[in-house]
Order: sequence, then C-alpha cells, then structure tokens
Amino acid sequence: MPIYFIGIGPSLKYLSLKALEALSKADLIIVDSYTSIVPDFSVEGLRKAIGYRSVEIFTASREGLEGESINKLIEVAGEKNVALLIPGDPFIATTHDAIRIEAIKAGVRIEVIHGVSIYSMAPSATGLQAYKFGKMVTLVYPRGSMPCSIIDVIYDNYSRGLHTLLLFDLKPEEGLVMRISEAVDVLLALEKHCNDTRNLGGMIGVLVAGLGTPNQFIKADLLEKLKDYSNAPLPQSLIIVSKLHPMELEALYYQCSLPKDLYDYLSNQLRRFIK
Amino acid sequence: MVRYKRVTDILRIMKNLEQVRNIGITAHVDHGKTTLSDSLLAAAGIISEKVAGEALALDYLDVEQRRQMTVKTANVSLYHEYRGKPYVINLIDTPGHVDFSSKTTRAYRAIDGAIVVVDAVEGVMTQTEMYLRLLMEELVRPVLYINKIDRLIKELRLTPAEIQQRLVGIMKEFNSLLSTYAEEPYRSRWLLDPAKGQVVFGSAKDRWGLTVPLAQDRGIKFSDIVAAYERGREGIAELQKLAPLHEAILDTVIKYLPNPKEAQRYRILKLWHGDLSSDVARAMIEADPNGPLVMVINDIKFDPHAGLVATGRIYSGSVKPGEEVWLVNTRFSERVLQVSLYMGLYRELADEIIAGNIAALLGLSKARAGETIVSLKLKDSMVPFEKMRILTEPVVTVSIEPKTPSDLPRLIDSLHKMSIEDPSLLIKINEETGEYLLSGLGTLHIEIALTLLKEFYGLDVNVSQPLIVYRESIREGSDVFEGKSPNKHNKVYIHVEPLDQRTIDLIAQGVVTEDMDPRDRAKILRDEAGWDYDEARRIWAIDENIDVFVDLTSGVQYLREVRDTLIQGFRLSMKEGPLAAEPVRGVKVVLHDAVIHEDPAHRGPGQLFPATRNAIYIGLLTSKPTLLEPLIKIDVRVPSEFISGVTAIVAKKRGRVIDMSYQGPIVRTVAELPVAESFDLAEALRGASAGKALWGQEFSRWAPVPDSMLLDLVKSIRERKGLKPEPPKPSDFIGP
Repeated sequence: MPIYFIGIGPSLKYLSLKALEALSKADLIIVDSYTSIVPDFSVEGLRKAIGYRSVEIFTASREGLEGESINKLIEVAGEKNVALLIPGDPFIATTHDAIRIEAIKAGVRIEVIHGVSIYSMAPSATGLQAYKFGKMVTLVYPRGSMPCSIIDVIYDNYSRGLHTLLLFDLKPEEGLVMRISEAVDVLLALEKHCNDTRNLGGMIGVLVAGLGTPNQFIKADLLEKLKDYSNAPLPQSLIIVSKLHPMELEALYYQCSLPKDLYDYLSNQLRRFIK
Repeated sequence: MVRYKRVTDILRIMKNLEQVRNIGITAHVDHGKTTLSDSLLAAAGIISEKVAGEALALDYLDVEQRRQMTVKTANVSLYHEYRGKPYVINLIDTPGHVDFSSKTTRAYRAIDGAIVVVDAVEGVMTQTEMYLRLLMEELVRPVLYINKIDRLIKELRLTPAEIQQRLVGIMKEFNSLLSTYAEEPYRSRWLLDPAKGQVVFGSAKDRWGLTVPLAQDRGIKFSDIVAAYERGREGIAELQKLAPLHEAILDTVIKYLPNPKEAQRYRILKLWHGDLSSDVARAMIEADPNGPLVMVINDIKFDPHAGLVATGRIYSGSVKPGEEVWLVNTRFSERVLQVSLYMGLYRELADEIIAGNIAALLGLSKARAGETIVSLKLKDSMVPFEKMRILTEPVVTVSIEPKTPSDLPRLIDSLHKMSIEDPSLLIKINEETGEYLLSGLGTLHIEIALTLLKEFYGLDVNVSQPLIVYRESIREGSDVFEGKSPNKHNKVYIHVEPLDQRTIDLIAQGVVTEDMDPRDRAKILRDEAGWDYDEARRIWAIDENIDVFVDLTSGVQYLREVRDTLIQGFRLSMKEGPLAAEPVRGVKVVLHDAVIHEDPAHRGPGQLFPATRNAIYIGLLTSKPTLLEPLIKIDVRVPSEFISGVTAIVAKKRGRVIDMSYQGPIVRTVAELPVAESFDLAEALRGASAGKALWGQEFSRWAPVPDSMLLDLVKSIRERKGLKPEPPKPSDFIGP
C-alpha cells in the first residue's frame, strides 16, 4: 500500500484534484500540524473537502512523525493507504525526508502530490524575480545559542545581489508563532550580538503575510518600519531585498506598497546607475 | 576573672591588626572542641562562667545539644589580655564530624591559625589527621591542645610518668603527621616544640590547662595534678585557679599563631590565583584597610528575622553599611544593609570592619558560601578566590513529603533555605513522581537535616528509606558510533572511554576545572595526566560528575553555532546514564565528526539532544558498563580481644581491611566498605565489641559493584524509578 505525501499549499482551497483523488483512496490521513500554519485548516473542513467519507484522521506533532514513529508509520503503510497532509509543498522544509527514504528502503510505494510553497509564492506574489533569490533561512527563536549564521546568510546573499527569504520560527507546542515585529527585533539583536556593524535596520524588506488566503497582505518598507504590521495575517515571512532590477522596483511600488519617498530615492539611484 | 567588654572596645582593638587573631578549633568528634570553646567564651565574659561546661553555648540549636555535636558554624569574637596588652580573637567554630567537612573546609579559608584538640585517651584519630592535612593545604598554622587529662587519671589510673609518656607519644604522632603534610618552609617552622609552650594539655571540662613553661613557672608537676584529682572537687577548683585553661590556650594562640597581617603575607600567595603584582594583590598581602574591599564569604545562614547573614574574612579594604558591593562569581551588585561582628550568639552592629577581620553582612541575598565580594571598582578585573575543594560528594538520598499536604509550599521554602546554608545538601524534584529528594553526605547528615526541618521550621514529614546514590561508568573504550537526530538530518560521531584515575583526581580536587584558561588546563593535563596537549586544548566541557567532552572535529560547518547545544546534550546524557538513569562518572566523550543541517530550524535542541544522547548511550552500553557504589573508610579502635569481631563485620559487609596496627592494648583497624552496607554499622560494631569500639568514618571513593550483583542492582534501581526492569540495548538508540 502506498504512502501519499500531499502538499496542502497555503490553504485547504489549494488542494489539487490530484490531492483529492489520493485522499479519496486513503484509509488513514495524518496531518502535519507543526511545520507551518494553514490558517483555514480544520479537521471538519478536511472532512467536508473529501465529501464526509468515513476515514481516520489524526493530527501529528513532531514526535508523531520523527524518530521511532517513522518505523510505525511504515508498518501501518503495509496494511493501509496512508496519506500524509503537509502544509506547502511536502519536501521543501526537508522535515519528512527521512520518512520517504525509509519507506522506499522498506519497499513501500510512495507518491508525492505537490502543493504550492512559500518558496514559489514569495517571488510570485511580490514581483521579485525567482532568479534573484539566494539561500533561504529560518529565523529561529534564539535560545541558548545565538545563530550568527542567519546574519551571514543575509549578507552573503546581499553582497551577491540576491534577495533572502526569511521564514519565521513557530513552536506550536508552546503556542508560539513569530510575527514581524519580533522577527525584526531578533534580527537586530543577532546582528548586534554577532558584532556585525552593517545596518540591517536600514535595509528594505517585504513582509508577506497570509499569502494564498483571502486576507493576504504584502508591504515593502525599511525593516524597522515593518514592525508596525504585526497584526497582518499568519503565517508571516520576510524578504530582505538586495539590488533591484527596474522591473522589481516598479513591482515593489505598485504591487507591494513601497512608500513613495523610498521609491523615488531608489529610482534616482537606479537611473544614475543606468547612465 | 570575667571581663565584660563593650562592642566599641572590641571594635577599636580590631583596627590594630597586631592585636587580632583569626583562629578555629578543630577536633575529631567528641574530643572536646565544644567544651573548650565554652571555657574560652566564659573567660571572654560572653556567657556566665557557671554554665560553661554544661551549656555548650556554641551549639545553640536543640538538636545539636542533644547530640552533643556541633552542626552549624558559629562565630564569636573573644577578648584577652596578654602581658598587659588587649587582644581580639575571632573564633570560628568548625564542625567536628566528617559528614560536614565541606563547611569545615570553607571555615579554614577564613582563619590563620587553629587549635587542634586531641583526646588524651583516644589519641590522634582519622579526622584529626584529615583536618591537619586540610590545615596544611590552606596554610593555617596549628597549635595542639591535648584534652581530657582527667580521664587518664580517673579512668585509666595512669601514673604521672605514664601520663607524660602518653603526651609525648601524641605530640610525636602529631608532629610526624605535620611533617608529612606540610610543605617547606612551614614544615620546619611549624613543628611543635613543647618546651616553648606550643602544646597545651589540660581538661576542658574541669577548665584547667598548662604548657611546659607554664608548669615550670608555677612549679606544677604531673604528680601535683594527680594529687589534685585525688583530693576531689576542692583540688580541681584549686587547679582551675592556679592554671586557668583559657589563659594557657589564649596565651599560646597570641604568642604562636600569626596575626592577620603576618598571615596574609604568605597565605594570599597560596590562596589567591590572580596577578600578584597587581594593586589589589598588594593591598591583600598588606591587609591594607585603605585598599579596595575584598572579602570571602565562608558561611551563609538564614536568620528568621534578618534574612540571609553572610559571614566572611576581609582581606583588603573595609566594609561599611550602605555600600554597594560586587559579587564576583554571581556577577551581581548588591547593597550591604548592615555590618556586624559576632559576640557569642549575637551579632552586634558596627560602622566599619577593616581588613584582617571577620564580619557578618546583611542585605546580600545572592551571596553563597565561597563567594568573593569586592568593591565596585574591581568589578571587571577581580579574580575570585579559587573554588573550594570538595572532599565529599552526596551519596545518600531520601524522598520526603509533608505529613500535611498543605505544608508543601512551606517545605519547599525551608528546603531551599537549608540548601543555601549548607550547599552540600542537594534538593531535587522527581519530575515524574513529584517527590522531593534530599541528598546528603551520609545518613547522619540527612538525619540532622530532617531534625532541623522539624525543630527549626516546624515541619512534620514522611521520609523514605535512605537510598544510596550510584554512578554509572565504563571499563573499556568504545568504537566511534553515529548518533542520529529524530529528523535524521543531523549526525554526530562519538566514542567514549574511561578517564584515567589521575585526571579524575585532578578534576575532583578542583585543580582542573571547566572555567579555567584552556591553555593552563591543557598544560596541567599534559604534565600530570599524560594527555596529548592538542586534545586537552580541545576540551569543551567538564560536568559535575567528572565527565569530559572533547571536540576533535575539523571543518564541520555550523559546529560553532551548535556547540552549546551539543554540550547541553552531553550534560543531559551524563546526568542520567542508560543503565539505571544514575549519573555517569569518569567518562571521556570525544566528538569526532558531525553533519549539521543547513537551516537553524532543523538543528535545534529537539534534534541535537537526542543525536548526542544516542551516540553516547550506544558508546556507554558497548563498553562494559557498570555501576559504581560509594565506599566509606572506617577507622575502628577496639581492645585486642574484640578484633576478630570487627574483621568479621568488615568481611560480612563486603569490606576490606586496609591497615591494622597495635597500639598497646588497642588494635586500630582501617577498613573500606560500601555505604550500602553501612546503615547498621554502629550497632554491629557496638555488639561485636561490648560497646568498646571507638570509630570514625569518611567518604573513601567510588568503586565498581561486584559483577554478580550488577544485574539485580540495575533492575531494582530501574524498578524504583518506574522504568522497565531491563536496561536498554545499544540497538535501541540506533533508530531507523
């Protein structure tokens, strides 16, 4: 019996026809509840989406899908069709790689049904070019250690003219979800701690919030100014912008509400550069 | 004659350091330390002369009085005149039972000289030897007081010649121990010469005492003393008048024990490890009252009215109420609310106490015994006095709960206060069962703590049977094993091996510590324990149970960033080993390589703790793991006809006789046996010797339990902890 790895995308409404087809065959549906947030997700909503077919649905925490649990899951897949529902696109976060590999090793058939990921929505929704993104990185809650590598990633990308997509940490078991104001504070604290003298606060960022939901919100501004938008919908991510192509600058102004003064300033700079 | 002195007089004298002595009294249990302290107190006009000998003023808790044994360090300043000049003697009372020696060690830091009390009947005992060794380590100069001469006369009915012979024997033994443990130049300077009056003999109970010169001076011979006892009460009263004990003792103290100024000149060089050419070093060496404040806290007590009282020795500068001071280890500044000196049971307020003296401070809520306190201007530069060496480790645990459940908050609060006062009492909560676990240095230590709970804090508690604390260890090195994180994106490669005994000793003695300079540490480990210098340089962590974590990786990406997480994972694994969830001891853990996930979200503690633990556990389980049990060393003296009974007990209790020697009609046996077998030892020894056994005990070492017992022991510990009876297999930690 196969394991279906199904990407939910950003919302239940993004479930593809192929996903629904796989779900209709599943004897057991396991929902990953910890890698990201799907705002409109509920077990009830899922039941409705599959036409109230009688099927077991579990929501799993990290312990349910890692370590020893992997073996149990594969064992179950020997007798039942198992569907794993994962926010976004199933393997972008690398969290479930081990399940796929172990399943294949155990001779269990697997099928991947892709969903829409922040990885493609971020450029797509903002007009920043996918070609011009560097390495992405998760901004974690600094606990015990200060991950200076996050600052390194941003500046490495920046110096090569590449934008950085920053995903925000969440700790569902503690009811914690990072929002933009905390994220900016963490970034600035990290920069200070790691003795970086460049000025992150003065960089331009684009807050992308609740992409793919009816309330989605996009705002480009100086990082420090973005702190005012913490009430924007979840999940929130941040793009730190490097050198802009003229089309990208237009997109920031017309599509991402970049303030006029910043737009004028950057346009002048670009024009000077082009001359 | 009793001289009542006012605080202001005492404070004035304390400003002239030539007229100050900081001393302690130390003795094997029941050799008469408390009786001596009381005689001195009586003479200092602090308690009435009549009750001395009965009242045991220093033992001010009921519990201690009933046990006739001091538990808490108490302080007192005495007044004495010698050749017409007034002196202040700061007397620090030290506990006389080996179970409390972490406090004793701490007290030694504050004093410059000590009176070592030896019972004339029992002679030099294990603890006398142990304390003398500690005195030498801390450069505290001793004088000897041989007590209970009355017993030689009344009980043993020795002739004057035999008495003299006995005293000479004790002095010789004492001097030979002193020359064993003292280093030069102190060895030759400090050897006791009775002809100079450096040895006092007498009876603290009957409050008379003499030195050889004093006896000659006053024309008293041993035969006169024997005759005085034959005449009974009247004769003894006359002896008291003719040769008062406090005079003999305090004259000797003033004449031969160094004043703070003299003592700090050589003691600072040994006790303090900072830059000796710095201004603060100079101020301490000179005991400069105008230098910056440097004070070391040797005792913390909880006073129900005043809160925490921190007592310690001032090495430089002066301490005044209202001043803000810096706590070097805690890295915190606090304001001193009150400064006081000790007078008997009471603290008396002072406006200022200067370097060289002992002071008690109120207002420092964060101070702990062992803390170095300095003026704010030394905040960033002060090197604290070294960590106190711990001679004993907690080995016995009981679980306790209040008889009335609503008392729980009060119980927690009281336990917390007790562990502040006595850092060798450990309090832990068992997260699963919610039990409160109290660990101490021995059954007696725990028993006294429980009595304190009841009498001092008014708490009635239910107590479990005492449990022995075991350690897990290994007997060979392992291969390198892979430890995987739950998401399998992080891998660590680790091998474990037993630490050599020399390294264990260096860590246990505090010579090698986690927070010392890595280069200094590597040098010591190379020179003293044969480590490879480069490997020793790469030690990441040393935990409280003497395990070492070494990083031998090279070029692992993101390793620096996850270093602290891996170290934390190491500590957690060693806190509860795989065999029986007991602490792991004496193991070297070496990290050879690691694979760390690209993104910080996937390499947090939730991933790296298990990865580290898995690799360490596999290593431990494949390296002939075993349990270590604590052994005690006992020193038993019995008349020779009972010796076979003693050796039979030692053999029956899985013990081993280390040494046996004949001292006249008495046989002295030194033996080692497991703490687990020691609970009814006192009773057994009494039974086998018709009550004539005299004995002392101290923690000896950790040793592997016999293989024949290992599995059953592991099973019973696991069952007690609610774990499945069989220990895990290495494969349980390999994962998918």
